[in-house]
Amino acid sequence: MKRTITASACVGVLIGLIALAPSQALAQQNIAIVYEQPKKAEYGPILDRLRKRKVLETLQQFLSPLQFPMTVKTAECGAPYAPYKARGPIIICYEYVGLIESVLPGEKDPVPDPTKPETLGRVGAFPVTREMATVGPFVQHALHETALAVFDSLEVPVWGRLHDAADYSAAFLLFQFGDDIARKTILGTTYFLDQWDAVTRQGQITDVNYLGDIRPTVRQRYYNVLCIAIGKKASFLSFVDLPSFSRIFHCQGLVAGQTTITSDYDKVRRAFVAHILPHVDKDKLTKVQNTMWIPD
Amino acid sequence: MIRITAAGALALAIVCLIPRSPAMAQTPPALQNDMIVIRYNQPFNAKYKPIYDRLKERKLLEQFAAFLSPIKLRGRLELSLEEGNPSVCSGPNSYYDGAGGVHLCYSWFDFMETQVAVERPRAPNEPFTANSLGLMPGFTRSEVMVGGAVSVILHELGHALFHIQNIPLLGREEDGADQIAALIMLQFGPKVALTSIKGAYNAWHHMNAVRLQRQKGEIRPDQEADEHSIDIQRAFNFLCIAYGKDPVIFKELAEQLLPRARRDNCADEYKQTALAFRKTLLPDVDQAMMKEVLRMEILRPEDYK
Repeated sequence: MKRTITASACVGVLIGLIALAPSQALAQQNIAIVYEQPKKAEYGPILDRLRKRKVLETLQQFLSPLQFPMTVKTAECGAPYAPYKARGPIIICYEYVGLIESVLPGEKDPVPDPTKPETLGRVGAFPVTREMATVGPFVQHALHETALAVFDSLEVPVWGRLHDAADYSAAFLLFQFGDDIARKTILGTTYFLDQWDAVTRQGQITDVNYLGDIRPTVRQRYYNVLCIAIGKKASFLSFVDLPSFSRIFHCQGLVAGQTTITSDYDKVRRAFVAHILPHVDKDKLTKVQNTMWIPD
Repeated sequence: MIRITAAGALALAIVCLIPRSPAMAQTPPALQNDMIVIRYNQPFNAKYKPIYDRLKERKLLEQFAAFLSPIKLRGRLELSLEEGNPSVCSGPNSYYDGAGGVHLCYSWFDFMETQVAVERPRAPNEPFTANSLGLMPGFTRSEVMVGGAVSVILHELGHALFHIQNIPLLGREEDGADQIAALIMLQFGPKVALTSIKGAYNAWHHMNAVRLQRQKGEIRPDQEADEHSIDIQRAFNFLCIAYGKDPVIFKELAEQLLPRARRDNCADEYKQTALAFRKTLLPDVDQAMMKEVLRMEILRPEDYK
């Protein structure tokens, strides 16, 4: 569903928050980047702004600790996602950027005041600004797609559906750069997924193609992100309606007598340490963790 | 406690189908593992007594223990057939308790026998839909009882292995446990594979239909919040892995039941599961014993009747 906000305004918000000047300290050659020209004119402004604000260059630096070659590109895909192909590039589709914009509520003020961030709504007790609701899902999506490529490149053993694992990994990574980034991106992502589910649910929730897809439902993705968040920070519990959240023990973990349930966050952390961390440059990782990727 | 929304198991379903066969289930003497303990617990409810008797006589837990014997377990594994505590075993259900115990509840086998593997009356020309209960067209009662049971025993085994072997998990454990079940079901030849996958599919189709009927055709958000996938997603997952491993044997079923876009991805899903098995479980498997296990007759001619 298309809302009233203009694409350019939203992309401006999105990129303005994540773009930083390329850092010499994080320069590397493993990650190649490509801005692909879209065929549809409507995606031209998105490409221009992504390029102008060096979004892929920023992502390139963010991923620089990975010690194996990868290509990241932006492209017109014909759908919000491009299916990941073995040894293929990480693709961020212009359609997905458009999707993020389209499901958020329209701009109330046509000329927003940057000193007064607009609150779109709340997740649990927490207010969500437009900046959080655009940057969060973009970053989460980039990390989700990156996770698929990392699983493939390193032949990481993945039990469970691949896209759930990618959601879990992305949410886990969002917590590795300090509380503030975690709060902004998790709140923004869950707000976006909640909105997305709300505007599309009725038409597709019983559709066999939707339920039979390789990806979880949008609502399942919402709970995936929350589940990892709850495992790391109990404060995120306020997001969920506990009586209907039967998965709570798996998200929080549990020790009762001889029974132990490890939280999903800790399971992902263990898997990350076992299978991915050996392929990461630790010095660069420290630098990445100490970089302010999403300034206030 | 790790709950499974419905449940079941290899041994019991087979037993339900085969009333008296004392000569069956000879466990090869070499297939012993001191870390595995089995327990048949007498049911209090008389309706479960015939299941208990048949199962014990067939020595199905012994057979199951033999099947697991090649795994160098890092902790004790107890396989328990039981009526169990109503708070966890009713439902129907079976579960892994997070402390080395796989609890196979009579309720699941009873459910398979009396609810799922049962042909329901339909009007002439009335199609079998997502809301239709019971035995699916083209499926036999024995396939569904055996497969529905096998899938759940192996699912709970999957949880036990993840926990006891301390396997790092990147994805959702419940789906991983289904993947272990599907993968194992495909290792004993095409007949066992087809029977068990059909049974698993039908079991989850039925569970989904029960919910759809109860919820007037809707899927509620709290189902999507659950640690398990939605029932019909679980059915698709089983069939997709099977089709990915053997696109010839499962061609007809996949074309009938899986969305086209999903079918195209199944080879990759099987590869993903096989890779995960090879990297996380296989290093702890005694290869010589495994060869013996693969020669075991998991299902016998009587099981298909």
